[in-house]
Amino acid sequence: MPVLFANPAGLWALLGIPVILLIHFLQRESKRIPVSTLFLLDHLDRESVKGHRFDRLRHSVPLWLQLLSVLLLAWLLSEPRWTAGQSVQRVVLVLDNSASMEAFREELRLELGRELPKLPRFTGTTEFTLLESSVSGGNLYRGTSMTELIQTLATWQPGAGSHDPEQAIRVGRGIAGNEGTLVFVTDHLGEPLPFGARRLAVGKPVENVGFAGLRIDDDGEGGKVWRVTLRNYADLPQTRSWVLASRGRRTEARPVELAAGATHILQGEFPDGADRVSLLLTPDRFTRDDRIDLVKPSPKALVVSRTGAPALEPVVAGLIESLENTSQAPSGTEPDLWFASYNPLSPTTPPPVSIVFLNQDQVPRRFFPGAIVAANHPLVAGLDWQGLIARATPSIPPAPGDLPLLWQGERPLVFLREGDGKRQLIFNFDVVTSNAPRLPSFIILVHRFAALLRQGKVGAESRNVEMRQPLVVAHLAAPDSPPLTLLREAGQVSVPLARARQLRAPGEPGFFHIDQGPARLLDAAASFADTREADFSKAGSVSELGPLPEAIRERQTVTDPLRPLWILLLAALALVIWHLLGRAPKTGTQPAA
Amino acid sequence: MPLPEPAELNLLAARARAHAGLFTLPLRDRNWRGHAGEYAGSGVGSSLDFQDHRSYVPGDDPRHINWQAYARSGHYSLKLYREEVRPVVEILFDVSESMFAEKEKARRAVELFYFAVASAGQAGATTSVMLLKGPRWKNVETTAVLSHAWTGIASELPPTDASAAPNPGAPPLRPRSLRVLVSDLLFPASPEPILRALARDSGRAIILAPYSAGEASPDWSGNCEFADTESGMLHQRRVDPGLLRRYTEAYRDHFSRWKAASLRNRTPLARIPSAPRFEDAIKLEAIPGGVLLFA
Repeated sequence: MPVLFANPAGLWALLGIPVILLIHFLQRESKRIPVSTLFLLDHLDRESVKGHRFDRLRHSVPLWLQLLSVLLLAWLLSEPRWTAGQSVQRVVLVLDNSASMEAFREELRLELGRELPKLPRFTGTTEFTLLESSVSGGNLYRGTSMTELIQTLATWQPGAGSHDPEQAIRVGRGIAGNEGTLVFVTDHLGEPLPFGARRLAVGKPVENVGFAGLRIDDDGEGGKVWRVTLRNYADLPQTRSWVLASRGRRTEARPVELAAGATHILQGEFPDGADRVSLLLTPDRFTRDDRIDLVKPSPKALVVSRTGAPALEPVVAGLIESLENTSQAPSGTEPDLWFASYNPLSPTTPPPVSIVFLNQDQVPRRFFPGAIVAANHPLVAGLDWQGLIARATPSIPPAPGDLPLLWQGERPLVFLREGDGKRQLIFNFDVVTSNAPRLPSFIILVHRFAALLRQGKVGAESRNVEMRQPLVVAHLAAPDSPPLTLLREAGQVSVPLARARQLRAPGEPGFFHIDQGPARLLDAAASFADTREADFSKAGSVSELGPLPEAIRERQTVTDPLRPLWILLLAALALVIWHLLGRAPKTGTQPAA
Repeated sequence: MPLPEPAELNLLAARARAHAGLFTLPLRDRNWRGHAGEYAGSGVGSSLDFQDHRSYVPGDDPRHINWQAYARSGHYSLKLYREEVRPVVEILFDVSESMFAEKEKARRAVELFYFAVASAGQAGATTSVMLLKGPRWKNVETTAVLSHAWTGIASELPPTDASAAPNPGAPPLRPRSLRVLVSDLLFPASPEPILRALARDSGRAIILAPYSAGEASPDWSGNCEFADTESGMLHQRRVDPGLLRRYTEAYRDHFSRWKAASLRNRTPLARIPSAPRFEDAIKLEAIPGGVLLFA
């Protein structure tokens, strides 16, 4: 079993040996005694009078006892411990992979380079595991080489948003076991960690200014206006400059001053003929929010058609006009969405994908009685229908599988009919004679239904997304369909159809495309939008690893089992030395003979 | 040589005279030669002590004829009586440096010296005093002893080697005298020659050996620099309990040899410690060993 010293400073006690020897030789000059019996002394030990100093040492029992005491004292103070050669120390590092860690990657490497070498010195083998803290995070390293672990960090790219690391810490504890070491590496201070994890924070406050959000609106003239929010997260005023880049050209740098904690809106139009722009800010320590890329958003094209009563035309026309990127279906083609009417007195079968409005010529005098209740469904979630006033008309015959979305009393006012190739949103009240066209909820419901249809349609669209945002891209799902391809400036990634549901936006800001074969499905820009990660005002550094070597030593090593014996021996030596050096001289009147 | 001051010498001399009233030199248990005196002589004398009978030869004093014996036997015979003489006491005082190495020991040595002189004087003995220092010696008049002038004479004796022993054979000693040697016997020489020299010419000798506790049971410890009292030479040595024990044993063996030699040569030896009072110190060895007697 290898021996180690828990307190190597205790070995300084060995300096007592030369001190004792020095005192021993200095003592030779200390006492001068007149004596008349020198011939007896000469007779006793004649050779040692002129002998070597070692002879003097050899014949001094107290000196040897003192030296032995010093050795024992050094042994006890240095706290020798024994380790089992087969002992394995598991060290699990849960790495906070939120985006803010990007600003402290170098500090992280340096700090781990300082702290980790302190851990394995008490053990035979140390096994390292490096995990990311987010739920979707990966296992970055597992092995026994500290150098390889730190090299892994060189290519590590944190990009997750704010998240709770508890689940990753729980997994880390499972890997480390009860005896292992679990460290959560982050850049923020916080509450004590669960599962016996220790915090190693490597952050510090950073004066960060960055893009915090975007909005793109119509300018009313067929164009698009972008608005980007610029935020100063620092406690001090900051000055930056920004430029707009599009199609290989840049504007002049424009300064912008932001007070402490202030936001500033930048706004502009997309240049003529350009459907994408980039805004670049003076880089600071945290660079992810120093760039924002924008594409001119365009939903998938929706081809619509209408059929039914003329009385509904104003309502239908208004609805179609409010929908973005729609077009009238040419004759002979099947539209994506029909706007149809249903007369209970002369019933017809509505188109399979349609929005159906009940319509009758005669206006009833009664209104529907009872309270209006909405179902728990995404299409009507959060919509207020309490202002709806509808007249009591005959009902569209319900079919099995209809999903009512809105009730008034016993009457389902709106229901969804799906299945057998159908997707129909049916308004079971006379929209024309009601006040529904003036209710926002009515418009929103129609838009949501149209968006639902767009979502399922395989077609091209343009939109701005956040980094790592899950992407739902409708695509051809036939077995012989080509895989999806994600293209960025840095390269392209092929995504098998089986994993298309796990598709996410890139972790770096920038433009990207998603294609399926020759067809383009998505033209998008990913931008950083987690303002919590961009705020470094609460970043800090702390290390709770200080007591770790001691704790590891306690777990992995055993103390000298003979320590009590050494202590007793040391005490006995002290008593013997005291007796030999300090005992009273014999006195008396009797002669020795 | 740290001899006592004159005032202290006066005090010591006075006390020695007082002690001479309590104790005496062993003068009674032997016949001496000398001038007429109070102690039995070795020849025939005119004292009242009957000594022997012998036949009358012409020339004898007819007053000593034993007429009662003549009446019984018809032969002339004479009664002989013991001679009464004044004994001769020769005091040999070892004045080597070791005798005065410690104040206490120096006082006791001088005290014994003065006692011997006073006791001899009180016994009416013919006293002569000699100072010995190694191979050298110096005769001192009794008056010089009484006036403490002997200290100056002792100081004038040249230093000797540390191992040099006093030589009692050097000074002329009168036959059949009592020789009193006052010495600490701290020299490596064999005791036999010294004892034989003391007892030569049918003399009788006694030895009074003062000693101190410092030399008999020293408390040395650690590294010591020993300064030889005779030569002043320095010797460095570390003293541990083992060395101290062996020194004590050697000291004891040294005087065991002296004791054994004194028995063989019929020269009583008494070691007189310096710490107790004089009368107590005398009673430890000198009185039980017959070296000195109660007066």
